[in-house]
Parts: sequence; structure tokens; C-alpha cells
Amino acid sequence: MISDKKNRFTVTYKPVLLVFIMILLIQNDVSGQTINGFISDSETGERLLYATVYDTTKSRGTSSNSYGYFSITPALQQFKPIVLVVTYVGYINDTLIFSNLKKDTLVNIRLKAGVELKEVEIKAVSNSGSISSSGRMHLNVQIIKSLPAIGGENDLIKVYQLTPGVQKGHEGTSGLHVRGGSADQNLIMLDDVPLYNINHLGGFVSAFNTDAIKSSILLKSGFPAKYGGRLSSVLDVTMADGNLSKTEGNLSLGLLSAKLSLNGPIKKNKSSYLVSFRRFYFDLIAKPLVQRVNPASTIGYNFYDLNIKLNRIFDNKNKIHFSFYSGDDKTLAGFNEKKDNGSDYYSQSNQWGNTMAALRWNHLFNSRIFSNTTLHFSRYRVKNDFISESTNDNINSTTRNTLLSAIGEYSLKSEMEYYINPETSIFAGTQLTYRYFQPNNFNYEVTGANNSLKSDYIHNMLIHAFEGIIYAGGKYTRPAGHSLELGGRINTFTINNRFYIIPEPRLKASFHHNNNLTSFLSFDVMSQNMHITGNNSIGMPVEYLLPATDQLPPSIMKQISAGIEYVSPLRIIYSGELYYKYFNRLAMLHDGASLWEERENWESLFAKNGTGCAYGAEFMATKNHGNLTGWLSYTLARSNRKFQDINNGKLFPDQFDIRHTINLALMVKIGENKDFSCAWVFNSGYRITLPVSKYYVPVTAGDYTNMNEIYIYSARNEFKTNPYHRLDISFNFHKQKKRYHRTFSLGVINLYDQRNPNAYYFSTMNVPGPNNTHYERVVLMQTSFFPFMPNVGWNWKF
Amino acid sequence: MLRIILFLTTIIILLFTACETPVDIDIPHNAITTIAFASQSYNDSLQVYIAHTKHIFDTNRYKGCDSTAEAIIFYNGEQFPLKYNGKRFVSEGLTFNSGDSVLLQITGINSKHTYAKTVIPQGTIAHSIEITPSALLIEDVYFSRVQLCFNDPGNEINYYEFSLNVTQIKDDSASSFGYHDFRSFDPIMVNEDIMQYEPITMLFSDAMFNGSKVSIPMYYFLNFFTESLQKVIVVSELRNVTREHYLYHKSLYKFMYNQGGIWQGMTMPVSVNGNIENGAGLFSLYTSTFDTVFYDFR
Repeated sequence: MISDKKNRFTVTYKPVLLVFIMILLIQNDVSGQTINGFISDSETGERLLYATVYDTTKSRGTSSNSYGYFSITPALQQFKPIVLVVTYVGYINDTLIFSNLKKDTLVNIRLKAGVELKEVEIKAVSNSGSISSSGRMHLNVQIIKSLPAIGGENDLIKVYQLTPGVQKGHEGTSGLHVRGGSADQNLIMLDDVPLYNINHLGGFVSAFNTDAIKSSILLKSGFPAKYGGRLSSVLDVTMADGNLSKTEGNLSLGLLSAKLSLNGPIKKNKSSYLVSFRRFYFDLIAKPLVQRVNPASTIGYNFYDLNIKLNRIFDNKNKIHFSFYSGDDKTLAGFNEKKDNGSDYYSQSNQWGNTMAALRWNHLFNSRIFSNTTLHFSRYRVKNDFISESTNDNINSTTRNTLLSAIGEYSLKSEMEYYINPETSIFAGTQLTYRYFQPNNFNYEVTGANNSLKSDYIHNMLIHAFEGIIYAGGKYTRPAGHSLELGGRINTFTINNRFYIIPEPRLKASFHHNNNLTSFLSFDVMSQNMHITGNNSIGMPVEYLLPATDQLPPSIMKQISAGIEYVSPLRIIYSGELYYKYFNRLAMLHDGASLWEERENWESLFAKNGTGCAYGAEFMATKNHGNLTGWLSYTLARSNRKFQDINNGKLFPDQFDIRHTINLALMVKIGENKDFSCAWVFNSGYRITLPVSKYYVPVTAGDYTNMNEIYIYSARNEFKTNPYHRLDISFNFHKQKKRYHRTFSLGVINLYDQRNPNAYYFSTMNVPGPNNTHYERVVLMQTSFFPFMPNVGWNWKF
Repeated sequence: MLRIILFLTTIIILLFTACETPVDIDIPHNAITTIAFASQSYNDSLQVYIAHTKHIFDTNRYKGCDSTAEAIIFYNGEQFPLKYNGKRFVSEGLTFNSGDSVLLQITGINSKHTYAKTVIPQGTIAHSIEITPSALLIEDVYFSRVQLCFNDPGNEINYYEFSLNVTQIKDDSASSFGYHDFRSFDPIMVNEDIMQYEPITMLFSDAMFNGSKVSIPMYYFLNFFTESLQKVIVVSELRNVTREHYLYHKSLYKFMYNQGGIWQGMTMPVSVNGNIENGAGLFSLYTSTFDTVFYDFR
């Protein structure tokens, strides 16, 4: 199925897409007038994504797209008005009545936040506006802010880790392992722009500042053709636009960080801004403490996030968004010591982070055709500087090392949506991307004593790659509610005169059995043009992003999934989904291989052409309404890998092949000014490779006095860690003051102090034996983070 | 980079109060495997260390050679049983030549046979060194520079191991330092991907300079400016080793590095390479040449 000149993966996908478009055009019913426009918050003017517009006359509907735009052509019936009902989670339904509609009508709908605004709700979304989720999860900011948070810092990723089919990786990290995929197989986008590393503080906090986010959606299957580039999931996060009517602010203080956000109109109802800044405290506390202990020493760590969004509405047909994000972590350690005969200066700093900027233009050609054009830049880089200067008896010596690892891209994307009739819509788009990779550039500079010797070594590797994407698709909805979404995406990738072309067909069918029961089936092919190496699981900035090459071709994933969803009379949504995924052409570092030193032939460090499969079942019960809301989910999963050069070519479980996962998230409203939330997670252990036996050999040839203990390891990932479970709770106390609204949060992470596995190692302990003796025993030690940990946070909204 | 990771990890541990507790995970007893180790110059009398693996929870450390094993060398179509001398299995009167193929057969525990074969590298390669005392000062520590020069014979890929033995004489008494903390910023060494593991011998192949004259600068940790130093004798050894020897020691350095400090449990497991069929360890003979540099400070 894959076309690739050298490897002769010749495939011929039939031009399914063209046939589909023809079918759609045949069915094109362009009679009737169209009602279109944007759905937004009545108070702030924020566009509401995925809101439902329902035509009661013919019992059919549509939903707003990711820019809040909708278009519907209602059924015309003589002498009867058209009644549209607009709904959105947390907002009061709006009913619009149109009588004697004779031409296309533009209407901007402003929904008013409901009295139940503070009641948090979760809603699975689909383009049809039905509750059918089909591998998608949509979380709004209210949910994220309601659940308990480490150090008082609410985190989007941590909440997604509580949803079915998503594993968190190691304890506390921001890793997403979706349906057996690895942490590098997720396309994480902020305002349509990919971010390459979302970890702050070694993964304990993600790059998403909740004060700057409007909404987010995680897709695990049934991917629309507009999404691609990673194998396992898409996390699409949208920044808030800023209030079009009045200026607002938000100040938060937590144990880890402080946040300040401001947003408001630049010109009322025409343009708005949002600026949000978050900073980590640690260096402000640690620096004076360290210098008090040792005045010659410096130590520090901080991170920051800066989100800026500007919006300008030119007229009913044109709107421009400018988004900017910059986030960096920085560590600094050093000392400067004067001695009698000289001085020592040492400084080590490390910086890593993302910068992205995007300019998007929404344009309405007419009431049925919506377009978006995006120009963006995104970059992730790790920079390490080491300087050591020593002076001893007037002899100087300097060592200076710098390391830079970066990936960046410039991209232009244009897409169009055509709402042909209420049953049918089609879309198409194209994207051109230039991407550069600097996997690990080194510069060593060593100056010897008295400047007599110099040794320089500069290693620069810059790899250029070009990506061209074309995608198209459409959706056809039967009056009975059944729908079919077909799409296709052609991924073309050029690197070092090597050209890859990978077709990615997508299909999703939804069946509306009755008002309470829906089912769905989807098939996806996804490809990934890059490989990310390093120990992703520990969340440190040690990943290197490397392109697919002729030796390491792009990876492919095929997935089939099916699910069912039932809404009970008590309005509890029960859903279940089965999936099977097959991975091909995976790359993985060989045992013990490392890219921490530069290599010209870095591709040889990889085991290539690996395969894998993942399958499982996900069940979820969600309650959206009332004072008690939340969800309970269970996931049964299995994930395996196979590489010719790893584990003797035998199949082995993936590191995060976690069989059982249970997640419980509850949010309870207690009166007007208090709410309580808790999150409990249980999962069976993740997989590890442990030594099973040992032997002793000389470290150096012939030296039998210095014997070293060598381990013989089990098969790859043969053992399971102990199960993981944890209960976090949080209370929020709200108080409305004259000029601001204050929220005080008090919570506990790991309420019952469970010691969960993070890492294992062997150690020797003296343990008591009989008759007051002691004997030596080899034990397996488990390292755990997050013991019982209280946290507090304050938030002022003004 | 490693320092950064160390630093970050320390921060996280400080912040979140890492807890360590003993846990029980059932680790089954795998079949006991024979261990063999012989890594020496082909000119020296052959000595083979034979042992067997222990379960990971076994608290008995190194207990010496397994005297109950039987070892036979197959060489030039003849068999030469090795004798146990109380420490190791040794050959008597057996001499090899470079380029020869040598097969070792061990009958170990449960009468299982274990094999290893090595081909002694062709020829000895003369080399020379130049020493610059205390050429580099890093974090208040002096490193001396050693410039290794030799002609690579070309044709097939050669593998090398370089080491230094430094004898310092002061106050009329001598002290020798056999292995040193090496540093090198030379592309040949940097591309070997072992500098981060703090090797005590330098392992490299001729992949980047096959068939040409090469000069590799390195730094080793030893202070020449010690007070009352009278004489320094630096003996360098350049070994032409087998591919198995090269891979074994590279993986051993990685393994040893990963076992220590806060990295325990957080790194990917590193399996130590070997060439013992049905067992573990290394059976490899090498050729070597020496060069000596004297410094007399009196």
C-alpha cells in the first residue's frame, strides 16, 4: 500500500477519494437557502468550537468547526418557519426562528453561559453534533481546572491521562501513550501549529497554561484527513481569543508557579488580545539559599510560558488570528572561586523549549464555503553551554563545550470547507512544510595550559526535509442520522534526494440506531516522517528528533476501531470501543545506544523496520449533568513490538503494555461557593527488563583482583512493575468580592501515600537474622515520587 | 549533557521527595550458564578464567575459578587440555602466532559444552607517543596530553585498544598507575561514542582512517607537577584487538557507567557483548606494541 521508489513498496490505492467526491457531487442538493455564521460567547465574544446547530423541522443538524463557523441549509416547508436550536456545553440553548427565508442568511449566534455555568461537563464530540465520540475526547478548561493538580498547577495533559486508552508513562510525567503508541507518536498542536516537546520540569508540568486555553480535543481514531504526521493520536489545543467586550485578568499563585493573564478588546467587538505569562519559582528560592551555604556557587532552575493571541474581525467574511507561544526551561549551575594561587570558574547552563508563531486567515467565500489559511513557524531546541576556566599558578586553561539540538519548520496551509447541503459537506486542503533538523551539534574548544595547546572540534549537522500534504474528504449524513466520513491524505516527504509518497485513507461510519444508541466504525492509516530517540519516558530533554531517511523510512500505522454509545434515561453516557492497530517500519535505538555524543552514522544506532501491534477495549461511563459530574473508565490493552535486532528477533511487550487501567474522575458542587473533586487511577504495572543472573569478570585484561559484577538481563520487558494506584483530592472555595472573584484551592496528591513504581534497581542490605545476627541480602529497590503531598493555590479573576 | 540530566534529576528528587522501598518481584532461576574469560596478548601463556552465573539475588560474590570445569584448546588440528593451577586454567608450552585461529571448549556445570573461537589479529603495529605534561586543567584537575601516532595497515577493519602505564618516582620510591581517566575531543574518539562512559582504556576502530598514518590527541588524568617528583616513566601499549574484544569492552564501559549513581533503574539495560557460545564472557587474544617515554626532573 505504500509507494516508495527505492524500497519498491508499490501500492496502488484506488482513487477512492475521487469516487467519493463524485458521489457527493451527484447527491448535491443545492436548493434552499443557507443559514451560516459564527457561534460565540455572548459576553466575551469567544468563538465556540463544535457547538451543535439542530434543525428541528427535519431533525438534522450540524456543528461548528474548529473556528466556530457553521453552515446549514434547512429543509424548506411551505408556510412553516425554520426552527434552529443551538446548543453548547455549559451554555443556555438558543432557539432561532426564521420565517419566509428567501435568501442566504448570515447570523452570528451568541450563546449565553447558563446558570449551570460552573457545573463542569464533559461531552464527546462529533461533527454531527451527536454524542457519538468515536475515539475522540473533548475537554474544556473548566474540567481541567476542577480536577486536583500537582503543586496546584492544573495540567491539561494530566487530565487526558485520566481518560480511557491513554497511559501516562512513568509516574508524574506528561507522556501520552495512546492505545499502545509511544510518547513520540502524538501530534500535539497549539492553534494548528505542532509543538515538539511539551515537557516542563522533566515532564511534571506540560507547556499548556490553562489560563490561555479555550478548548482541546484528543483524537485516538477516526482521524479527519486534515490531521496527520504522527502515528497514534492528535491533541489539538486552541488558545482563547480574548474578550471582545471588556478587559479581564487572572492571577494565580501555586506551590510551583505563578500565572498572570490579561485579555480584552483592542477595539470593541472588532479586535481582541490575550497575553498570559507563567513562571516557575524554584530559582528565586534556591539561589539565595545556595549562595548562603556557599557564596561561590550558583544554582537555578526556572521555566516560563508566554502566550499571546491577537484577533481582528475585518467584516463578516474575514477574520485574522495571530498566535504566539514561547516556553523555555533553563537550568544554571556554577561556581566562581578565588584561591591563593588562582581561581576556578565553572558554569553549566541548559535551555530547552518551543517557540511558535502562526498567522491564520478565516475567509468566507459565500454562505457555504469557509476557508482557512495558516502560515506558521515552530521550533524546538535544546542548548547546553559548559565553560570551565582554571587558573593555577598563573597557568590558564579553558574548556568550552556547546551543544545545540533543534528542529524547526516553516509551513503554509490552506484548507476549504464546502457545505453542499445539510447532508453533505466536503473539505480539501494542502500544506507545504520545510523542516530542518540539527540533531546534535557540538562545539568543543579546549585551550591547554599557558595557551600552548588548542584543540577545537566542531560538529555541525543540518538536515533539510520537505513535506507536501494534500488532503480531501467529506461527510454524508442520512436523514436517519447514519453518517459516512471518507477522506484521504497524501503524505509526500523529500530528504537527501529521497522521495516518499504515502497515501493515508480514512473512513468513519456512524450508525444512529435510535435517539439513545449510536455505533461507529473507523479505519485509519497514519504515517510519521520523523523518529524521536532518547528515553522519552523520563521526560528529560534528552530526546533527539531525527528525520526519516533512506535507511530509516517513515513509520506507518493502520488502525481499525469500532464502538457503541448509549445514553441512559438518567443521562449517563455509556460507551465502549474496540481497536486494533498495526505499526510498520518502526525505529528504535539499539540496547544501550546513545546519541549523547555526536555520530556521523547515527542511523546505525537504530534497529529498523520494526513492527508492532496494539489492541484493546475501552469502556467509559460519563455523567454530565447535575451537581455530581465525572466519569469512570476501564481500559483493557495489549501492545507488542518486534525488531529483527532486538530481543533476538522475538516479539516483546512494549514498555507501556499496561493490561488494566481504571480511571475515576469526580467533580461535586457543594453549595454555591464550594466544589470538591477527586481523581483515582489504577493501572497494572508497566513493563521492565530486569537482570535475572550475574557473573564476575575482570574489568581489564589480566587484572583478576578487580572483578566486576555483570548482569544478564531477561528478555526485553519481560517483567511487570507493581500496580500503580493513587487518589488525589481537591477542594475549591470561591468568593465573589467587589472587584474580583477569588478561588482558594486546597488539595492532596496521593491521599493514602501509596508508593508507586518509578524505577527499579538492585541493592545489598543487611537484614536481621536469627540469634541477633545479620546477613547480607540482595533486594530489588523501587524508587517512587509523589508521597502524600498537600498543595494550595490561589486564583484571582478580575 | 549528563551533568544537566544529573542536575535536573536532583531537582526533581528534592522537590518531590523520592522514596525508596524494597519490593518483591518474583525473578525465576534461569539455567546456570558457563562464564569464560581470557583476554591477553597471544605471546603470554594462556590463562582462562572459568565460572558460572549466579541468580541475581545470590549474595555470594566472586568466589574464584570453577575448578571442576574442563577446558580444551583446539589449535592447528590438535587438542591441548588446560590445567587448573589453583587460580585459572592454563596452557603449558602452547604458543600461538598472529593470524591463527584458536578454539576453546569448556565442559562446565551439568556437563554442558561451551565454545569460543578467536582469530588473533594479523601483525603488530608499531606506535609512538608524545607526552605534554599537565596540558589541560579542568575543574582544578590537570590532564596530561598524549599524542598517539601509528600507521594503520589498511585492508580489513582493525580494532585498537590504547592504554598507559605511568610510573612516578618520588622520594626514591616508585608508584605505578595502570589505568587512567581518559578524555579526547578528537573526532576519531568522539565518534566511538564511549567518552561519556569515562573509559580507562581507549577503544577505537580504523573506520575513519583506514590505511593511513594517524595521530590522535588524548588527555589522561595524572598530575606531573607533584612536588618532589624525581622521575616519570610513561609506557604506552597499543593493542590490535579482535572485534569481539572491542565490542565487549565498549559495552562493558557502558554497562559499568549505567550501574552507578542516581541512574540506577532509569537507564535502558546494557547487555555486555561476548563471544562465548552457550555462555557469557570473552575469549580473545591480541597483539600489542609498547613505547616508553622518560622524564627526569632531577
